[in-house]
Amino acid sequence: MSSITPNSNDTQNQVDVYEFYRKKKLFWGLILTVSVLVLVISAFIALMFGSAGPIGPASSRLLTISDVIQQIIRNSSQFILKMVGYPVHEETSIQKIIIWDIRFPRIIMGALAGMALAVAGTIMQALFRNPMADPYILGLASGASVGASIAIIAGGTIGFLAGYILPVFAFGGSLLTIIIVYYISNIRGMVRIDTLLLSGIAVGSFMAAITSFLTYISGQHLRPIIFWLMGGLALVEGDWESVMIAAMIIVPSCVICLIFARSLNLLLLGEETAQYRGLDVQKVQKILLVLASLITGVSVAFTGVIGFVGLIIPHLIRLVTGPDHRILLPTSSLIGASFLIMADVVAKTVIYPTELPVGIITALCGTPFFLYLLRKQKKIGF
Amino acid sequence: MEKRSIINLVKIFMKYKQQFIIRVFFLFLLSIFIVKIYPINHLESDRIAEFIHIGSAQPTYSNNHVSYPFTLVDGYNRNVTFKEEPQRIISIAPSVTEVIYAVGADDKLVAVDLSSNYPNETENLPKIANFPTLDVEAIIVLNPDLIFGAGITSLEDVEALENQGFSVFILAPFNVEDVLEDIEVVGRITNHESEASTLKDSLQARINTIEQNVTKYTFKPKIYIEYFSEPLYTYGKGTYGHDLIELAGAINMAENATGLYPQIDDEFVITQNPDIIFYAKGSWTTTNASTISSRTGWNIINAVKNGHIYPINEDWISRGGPRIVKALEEIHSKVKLVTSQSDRDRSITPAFEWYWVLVMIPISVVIGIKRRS
Repeated sequence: MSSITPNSNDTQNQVDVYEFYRKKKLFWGLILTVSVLVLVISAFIALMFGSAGPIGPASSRLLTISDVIQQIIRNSSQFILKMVGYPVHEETSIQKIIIWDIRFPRIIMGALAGMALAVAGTIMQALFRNPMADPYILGLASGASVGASIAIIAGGTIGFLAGYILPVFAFGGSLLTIIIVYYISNIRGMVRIDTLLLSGIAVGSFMAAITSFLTYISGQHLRPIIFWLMGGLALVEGDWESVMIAAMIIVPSCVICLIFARSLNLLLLGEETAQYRGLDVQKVQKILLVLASLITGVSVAFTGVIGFVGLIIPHLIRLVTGPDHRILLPTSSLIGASFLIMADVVAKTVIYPTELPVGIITALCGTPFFLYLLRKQKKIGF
Repeated sequence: MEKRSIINLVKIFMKYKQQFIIRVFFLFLLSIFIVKIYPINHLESDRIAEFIHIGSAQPTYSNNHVSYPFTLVDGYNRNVTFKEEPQRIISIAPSVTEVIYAVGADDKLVAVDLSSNYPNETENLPKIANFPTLDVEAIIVLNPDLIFGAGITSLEDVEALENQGFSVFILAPFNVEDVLEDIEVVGRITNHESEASTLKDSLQARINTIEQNVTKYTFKPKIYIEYFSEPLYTYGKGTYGHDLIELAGAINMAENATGLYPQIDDEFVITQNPDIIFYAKGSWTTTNASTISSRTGWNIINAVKNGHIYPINEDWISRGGPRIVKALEEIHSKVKLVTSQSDRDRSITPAFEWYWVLVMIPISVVIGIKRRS
């Protein structure tokens, strides 16, 4: 960007450029503020819904809106105090258990998973320069499903892993898949992105076949396997530990991905152009692939295979912000998080008290809205 | 500058790229290990449901004789005519297998389906695959003169068998009363009418005893039967589990839920506050009383506070066979216990302190990185 010099002959033009960047910055700031607000508001709304009230289809109204707000303030301040090391007297009331121990982990995991899937989807779409790409394009979901199905069918527990069998097996499955895919497409230290895409699809299909086989013979376990294949946040309810483990991995990885936003912009021009512009294409691609796979693997391990968030949210945000990753990545992570939180509220309440897998809701609500925007805009900048 | 340093960090990771992914996985395992080893709650040892033979029908070839031929209407509203006493019977549903054994017609049984596992004598019989598709070929080879199916047998399968010239009879009971009637029907078809009616009368007497007891109870406890734990599935309206709860004088916590086996969440269970929790005990389940009571927030549920968490054999409540009365008696005995008890309060135990995870995970990460360099 050239500096503005008032003595220049071409003053009018440079004022325009200045004006353009000022407006762009204003626009980006506005978009980010709105996204943060949307996330906070949707998390707040989600905290209100549930069997114990204050909002929702349940007949019991155990909690009031002021209860919820009081619990949010009290527990988050206690949380901070405890982290500092200040001794806190903890009371155990039903309000605290429902708001802080049951609803909060679920909402935060929803936000983390939505964030991870949206960021991974954006990165995959840019790396493969393919609008069909989603976080699961390298066969991660199929690999994780094989691991999870085995864990569900075997049904046993292994000592210290009690309660974590499912996430560990799912994460192990996706890890195994990504390693296989990577080694297949790694030819003398060079990873070609199109080979990667093809081997990812091939290994994914292979893993999907194993999952189908396991589902077919599962008998008694059919129901939990199908729940897992459609994705749901019910498993992390009342489970702060899982949420913490997921947050430790997903949040730093997403921040690192943000740093590579400019590199992603360059990669959109094509690998050769990016190389000539001074980008170490191979290295950046590898780093981003590892990060995207890692966050996808972790979110799948805890919530199952939630579809459509990673595919549609990046496109949706691109329609609003344009294809610049500096704004696209943070916005889609925030909106992805809010979208999954709201989808989970719908999944919880639509045929209360029965819960639906959240994957059904994301596809059901997300797709028509996306198609509407697509028709309205008539242009999809990729 | 900051951006540079983070890129340098990533560069270090990429230098060890093969080990990096594996390291992350092991850190993941390690953190879970540390998290899990901390809270050790031993509340109650697991109870294992015992199998008790029911009906113990003696295979006596008594003097009763059913007069053939006759025509009966089966569970799919089909008219089936029986010309003479069937000599080669195949059962393609575990519930019907149990009924056949209970009425003493098992000497005519030539094969059962893969899921039939009770009584133990079924081990010696040839097995026929019935899920997801029925192995019609295996049935043709065995050449039965009667095939018993249940509600899980699809109408297409029934038609396929009929096209092969086999006579098929479907038992599709919807509630406990239907199950008792079906016992009589099977007895009549297999020429074991007196055994069947004896069995039915004894089962009916046991149900009647319970029904009489139920009228005396002062309140109806709420019951939650857990079918599966990850995620939580329970028995909804239309299942035997729901019927048994109502017959035992209690309320099914999930009576308003949509679906036969609705998925519910922790908050729903806590809000409903059941007085008794049963968990289905099958060959595949790992749930026990201590895993249920150690779930976050469940310590304020009445059933957990008062220790009313019991196993129930999954086969008893899901199969429309004679053992369903066993399940009813099991549920009723706990309902009786709860309604007679008056001590319904106990101090609340503090919840699991999870915050220390925040301390331990960075330490484990630091250890992991140190080992690398």
